[in-house]
Amino acid sequence: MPSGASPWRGPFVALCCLFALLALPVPAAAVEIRGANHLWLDDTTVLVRLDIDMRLPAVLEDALANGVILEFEAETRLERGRRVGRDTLASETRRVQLQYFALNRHYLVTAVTDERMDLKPTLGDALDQVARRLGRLRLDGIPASARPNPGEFDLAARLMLVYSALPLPLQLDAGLRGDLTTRQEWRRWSLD
Amino acid sequence: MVAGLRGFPWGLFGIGLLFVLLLTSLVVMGDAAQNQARFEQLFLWLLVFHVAVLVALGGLIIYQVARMAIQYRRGVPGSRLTLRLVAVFMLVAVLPVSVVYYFSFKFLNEGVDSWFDVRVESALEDALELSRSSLDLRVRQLANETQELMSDLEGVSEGLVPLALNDYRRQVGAQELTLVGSNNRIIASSTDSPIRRLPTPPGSDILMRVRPEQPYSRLEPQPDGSLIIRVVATTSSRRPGSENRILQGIYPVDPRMSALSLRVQDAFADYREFAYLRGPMIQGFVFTLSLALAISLMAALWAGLLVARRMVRPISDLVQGTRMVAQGDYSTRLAVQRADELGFLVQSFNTMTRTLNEARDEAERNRRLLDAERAYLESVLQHLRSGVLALDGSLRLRTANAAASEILECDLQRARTRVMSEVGAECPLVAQFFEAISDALVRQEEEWSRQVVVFTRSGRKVLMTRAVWLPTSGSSRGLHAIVFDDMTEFLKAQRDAAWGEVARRLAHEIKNPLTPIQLSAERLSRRLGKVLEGADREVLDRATGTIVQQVEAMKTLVNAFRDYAQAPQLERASVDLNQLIRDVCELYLDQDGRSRVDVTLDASLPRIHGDAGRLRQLLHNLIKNALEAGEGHEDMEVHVATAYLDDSAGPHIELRVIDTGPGIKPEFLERIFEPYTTDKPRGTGLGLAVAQKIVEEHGGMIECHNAESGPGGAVFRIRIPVEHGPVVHEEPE
Repeated sequence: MPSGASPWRGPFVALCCLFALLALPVPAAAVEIRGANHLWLDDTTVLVRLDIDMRLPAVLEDALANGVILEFEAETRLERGRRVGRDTLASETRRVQLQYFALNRHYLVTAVTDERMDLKPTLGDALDQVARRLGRLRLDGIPASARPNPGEFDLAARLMLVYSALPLPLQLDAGLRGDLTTRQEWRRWSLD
Repeated sequence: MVAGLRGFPWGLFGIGLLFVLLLTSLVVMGDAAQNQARFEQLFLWLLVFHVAVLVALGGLIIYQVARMAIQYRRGVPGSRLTLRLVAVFMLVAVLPVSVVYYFSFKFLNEGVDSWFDVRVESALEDALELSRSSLDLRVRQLANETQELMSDLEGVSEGLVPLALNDYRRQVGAQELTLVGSNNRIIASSTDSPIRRLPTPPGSDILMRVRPEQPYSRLEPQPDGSLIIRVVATTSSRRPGSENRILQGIYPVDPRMSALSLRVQDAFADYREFAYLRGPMIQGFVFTLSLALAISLMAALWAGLLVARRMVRPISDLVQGTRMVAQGDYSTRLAVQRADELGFLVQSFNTMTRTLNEARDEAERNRRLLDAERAYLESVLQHLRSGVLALDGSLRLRTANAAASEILECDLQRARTRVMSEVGAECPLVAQFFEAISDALVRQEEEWSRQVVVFTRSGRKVLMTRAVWLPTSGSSRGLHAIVFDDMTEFLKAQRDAAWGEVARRLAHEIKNPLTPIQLSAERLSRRLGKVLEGADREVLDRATGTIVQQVEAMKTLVNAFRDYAQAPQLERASVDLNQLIRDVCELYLDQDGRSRVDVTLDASLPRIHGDAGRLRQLLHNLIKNALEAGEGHEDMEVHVATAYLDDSAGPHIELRVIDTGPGIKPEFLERIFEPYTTDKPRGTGLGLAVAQKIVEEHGGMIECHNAESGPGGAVFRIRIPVEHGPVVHEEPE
């Protein structure tokens, strides 16, 4: 090996290539928030309502029919913008599972947080129920200064299919083929 | 410490570490393949690890292969062998890896397929259907009972409804019975829970599906893992205006039945999920296997590169060392890093170079000694006054010393290895010399000597030459060793000394008694002339006259010898030879005033630096000699001609004195210029000797021969160099 060449140059280049592969852009979300609004319940509590489009891609419908449990997560935050980054003042997360209940051929919607269960005879009803369960989030502990100065605060929400809850072969197969996505980008709107 | 780290085989260590990691990953992957949960937990990490190693190895291999290709293109020693070894390693690795890959692929497919069995799937479906049928039966049964209960409650007043519900709940074993009126108003409720809690009315979606006499019934799971059956029934109001009532009954499913049914459902769901994920799972396995095998292949290739390099390095060093030796660097030593055959080869190379180095040093020492000897010999040769030449069998000059160059007036040091005829083309003296001795050289006479006379710019040279033919051993070509001395001055001095001695003896032995003889004869004539008369007196006078006359002649002879022996110092000056010839020839007019000498003069003749008096004597001697030789011949002619020549002998004046006499007898030709050599009845025999002396005093050369064509006669050819003194061309008249 020439004296001037570093022996680590090859591995370094290889790792750079690996990171470049991992940093490839993700495809569009399978479920997404179409719209959002909020309602002040009191000076420190806001009820966030999300209008969610719950059209599942074919691969997830197929997986659901074959016993795979789908898990969705909605997350909302109250943020205050800064010059660099954002402060999260309050947050709320809601998870809902959707599965096929074979004993009576219904779809079972289960809220992971409070274990509430809803059986729906069709997938559409079940998805509507999932949207209802995910679309109402309550943000508590909002600073009292937020309501008088709503322009300084933003509400942010995002919806995601919990990718890690899927069986790994499905993660690899569908994920590598680009049929699924892990998360939707944050959707923000002003508190006023 | 640092040196120790540098010497550590990091490449092999890396290969070993990588091999262990790969083995571990394969073991983990094999273990994980038997367990779905574990597989899901580890698969991603294994995948990332393999991809990272693959990329790293790929980068390393590309780097190494590119380096190898560059080295191959540049012809770096060992690169070809490295390439071949890597190709062999690659082939050796690819074959088993391909076999392993094929059987592993087959095993994976069959192994995953073995997880699934049609009978198991069918059994699971049957079990689920059985559970479903059993539960459906129970659901329908409870739906009918609830519908009947609802019918019974039609006639019960609102006040008694709670009691009735309670009785009915105990009777049918319901978990909860709730009677709901309009607007979801709870009329009455009964539950088996000791904790009083608010009953949950049926949801709107349920209410939308309830029809009179068609109760809504559904099996529902509970968060605690149990099952319940929810039945909602209503009846068409028989009394107009009365409130429409709905009865909701929640019935527990037998815990065992519930557990079994849920277990069957979970098993079925898992099986379906497995079946659904079978393809992706196999793809994942194959992908992982391909990664592992690709990594193994690359690791083998990398190992091949490293091992080939390690194996080839001593050979490369040897090639490099051999090149250094070929370039004459015998101090090359290679590091012996191995104890195997290659190490022995390197050690042998070092021994060889050491021996070569010692031999070269010895040869160098011998060469220096030889050079010193040669230099000594050269020095001796260079300082010799004798010229020394060495010619090989093809007459090519091998050696010449400085004296040879000086005598032959040619830089023979630069003419080494050249054929003498070529050298002679550039050096006229060499050409003359070589021409004079070439016959002996060609004949390769073993030993010979001869006197060689050459004509140079500065005059004639007499070279006493001796040569020996040395047939050298071990070579077909011999060697002529030629030694020659310039004897010109020596011979001249010797001759001068000899004739000086002759002159001295003549003066001493002859001239001294001549005067008394002459005086005695004259006295006899005077004394006896008075006494004798007649015939006696006549005899006396004739005798004494003869004596006196002969004595005078002897005095003249002695004076001529004196002149020859005691040559005066030349008084050189610029001399116009043409004019001198004209002056001398005027002395030779006949009675009619016509010149007896015909003159042809070269108008371009330059002036020479000479002694006019001596040259005049030269002309007198030659013309007189010619005229005396032609006495008695009526058509006798003497011709004097001059010419300016610039040939191989250099610029010189040529003077020819030609007569039409009888010529010189052959027996006199050889020694015509020696004193007292003459074929004429009169004369001292010193005229031509003095002429030769005068010519030689002027650095010239005189030759004599008989004319081969025309009327015959003798030809005297005198060449006098013009290099001495100013050379001025005479304007043509």
